Amino acid sequence: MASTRLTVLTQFVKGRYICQLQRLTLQYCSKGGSSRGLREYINNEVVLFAKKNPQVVIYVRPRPYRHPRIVAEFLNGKSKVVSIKNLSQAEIRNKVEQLRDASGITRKKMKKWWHTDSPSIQGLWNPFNSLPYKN
Amino acid sequence: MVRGGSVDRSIRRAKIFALTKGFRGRRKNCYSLAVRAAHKALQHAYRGRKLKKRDMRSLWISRISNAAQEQRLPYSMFINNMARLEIQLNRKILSELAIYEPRSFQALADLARRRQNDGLLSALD
Repeated sequence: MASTRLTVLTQFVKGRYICQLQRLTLQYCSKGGSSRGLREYINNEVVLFAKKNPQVVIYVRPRPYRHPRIVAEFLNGKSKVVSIKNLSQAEIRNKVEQLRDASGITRKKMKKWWHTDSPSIQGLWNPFNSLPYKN
Repeated sequence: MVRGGSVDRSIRRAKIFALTKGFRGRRKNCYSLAVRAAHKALQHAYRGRKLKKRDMRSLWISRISNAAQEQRLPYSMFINNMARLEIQLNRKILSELAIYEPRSFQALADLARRRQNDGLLSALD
């Protein structure tokens, strides 16, 4: 988790924000009812979104007889598949904007399963702690 | 006519059943079995409270011994010199230092070694 966060931070150059979303693939079905929102989005809004966000590559793919999806690929190589089955156009717009604002870091619970009021200051003992000695 | 027991009996037995929660099989629900199981459990608890103190101390000692051996000191020498230097840290804290603050423990081991050497030198004089 820590390593992926570091790679994201290195993408920030001199404090400038770099959009972490690389590719969006909108997979729609031309006939299915669950795809209706996506079809409307594609007809009405996707070009506007693409123009506003030139850093994102957008593919629109027909995927017949299946529920609609968005596949988002990020700069750190992670991909996320979002099902947009039966969502309205506005909801799909929200989802797309959410993906555009997201980093590619896989979400993980930051829970620690232990707690201490006095954590180790010098670091926990490990076998390489004390120097080797010559007898 | 359905006859239950007296209220006193139920109250008395409820105290036993409160102790036998989680026991296996009929020992938690049937009074004659539960009584024996509860009494045995209480005996174990009594003995365990005394054993726990012994076990924890021997655990601490074995941890301190291992940590001191890493610093090339036998446990006896380490503890002896801690006492000579009037360092009031007990075995519990010493073992926790060895785990969580290894540098501090190393410093203590160096102190003990120096005191040992000084003791030898003063004996030779």
